[in-house]
Amino acid sequence: MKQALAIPAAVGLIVLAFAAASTTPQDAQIEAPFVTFGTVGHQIFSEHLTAEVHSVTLAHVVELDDWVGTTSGIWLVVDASVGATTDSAYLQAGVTVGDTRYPASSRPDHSINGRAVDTGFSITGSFLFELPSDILDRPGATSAAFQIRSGLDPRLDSVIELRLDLTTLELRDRVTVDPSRDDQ
Amino acid sequence: MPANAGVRSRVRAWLPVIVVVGVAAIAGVVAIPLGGWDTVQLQSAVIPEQPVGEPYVGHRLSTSIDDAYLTDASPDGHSEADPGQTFLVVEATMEAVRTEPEFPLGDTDFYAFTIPGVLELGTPIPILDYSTVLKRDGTFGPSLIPGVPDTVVFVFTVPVTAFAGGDVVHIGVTDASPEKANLFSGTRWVKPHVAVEVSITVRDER
Repeated sequence: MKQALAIPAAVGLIVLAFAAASTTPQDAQIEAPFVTFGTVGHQIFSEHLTAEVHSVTLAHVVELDDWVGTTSGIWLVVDASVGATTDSAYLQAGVTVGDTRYPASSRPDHSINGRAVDTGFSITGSFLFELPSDILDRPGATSAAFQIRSGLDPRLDSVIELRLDLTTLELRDRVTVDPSRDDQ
Repeated sequence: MPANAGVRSRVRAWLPVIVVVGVAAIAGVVAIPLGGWDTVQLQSAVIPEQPVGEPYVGHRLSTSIDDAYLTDASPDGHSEADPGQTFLVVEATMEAVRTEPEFPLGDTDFYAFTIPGVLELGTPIPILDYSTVLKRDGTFGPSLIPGVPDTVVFVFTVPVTAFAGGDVVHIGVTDASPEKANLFSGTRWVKPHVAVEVSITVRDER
């Protein structure tokens, strides 16, 4: 009787081991940020930030002060106001389309990305993203994830996220944006 | 046991060694008039030639070496060469082919390309001895955005005697195999190596 049970028991334990291994959360899941979702035109609150995205546009060329941004791709321009609630924040934004991550561009000097915001204050400006020229044809273009966070490392941090359908956005030849500025 | 049988059994026991030594001796004798075995180039060690301006698509980057020239005024618009030194400028059109942004030059173990005597895999280059700028607007230290090709200008400080106009420089474009890293999140690159070689004539812009 014991021998008859030995093989099924061994097989069962192996199956259980595989099941445990395959369902163990990976680092990306264990350290995933806490996401607060929102939409364009509405104030969004996370643990560390408040944000309101005013408009989203696509463009071939962006002008900011005397900087003229050309690209072999296209620009995604996100105008927003962002405030810090509990700690000073170092604003970082990114867009994920499919499984590809695009950080906000550091090419212009006066975009809102990388700006420091003191606790209780907010700033208004534009996040600029260089995206591939064929981005509208890529999987995920109808549900791009735009995220704002308060530091370089998003792990276990709170982030603000808006889902954007890039295929519905207006594609303009040239867009002029204002330098980031402190709100009154 | 007869004496002959004993000899035969001893020879049979040593037969593999005799065969190996015999083949090695014949190979050695044949190699002498051909210059010896150290002159033989393994086909696996032959690095394919890549034309100037033609992209090589690796696992991390697509890279085409477009131009190389010497100048005493750095393209970053701020630096001038110290006495005894000059700038070797390499222009390359590059694209990040994975799902994350990449720095154009990469790191010590996996530079995007090599230049004999200037930039070698595994040999760190002092941070003050090079710079990278985006050709289209002079952005210093740019990142390569996935799917967005751009021309990057690499500026290396070199001794003034290292290169001359008209020299042919063999720039090695590298590649490696991506694997999921265990000790950190992200990708670790296995076996970085020169995948293709671009022979480019250095222009003198001084």
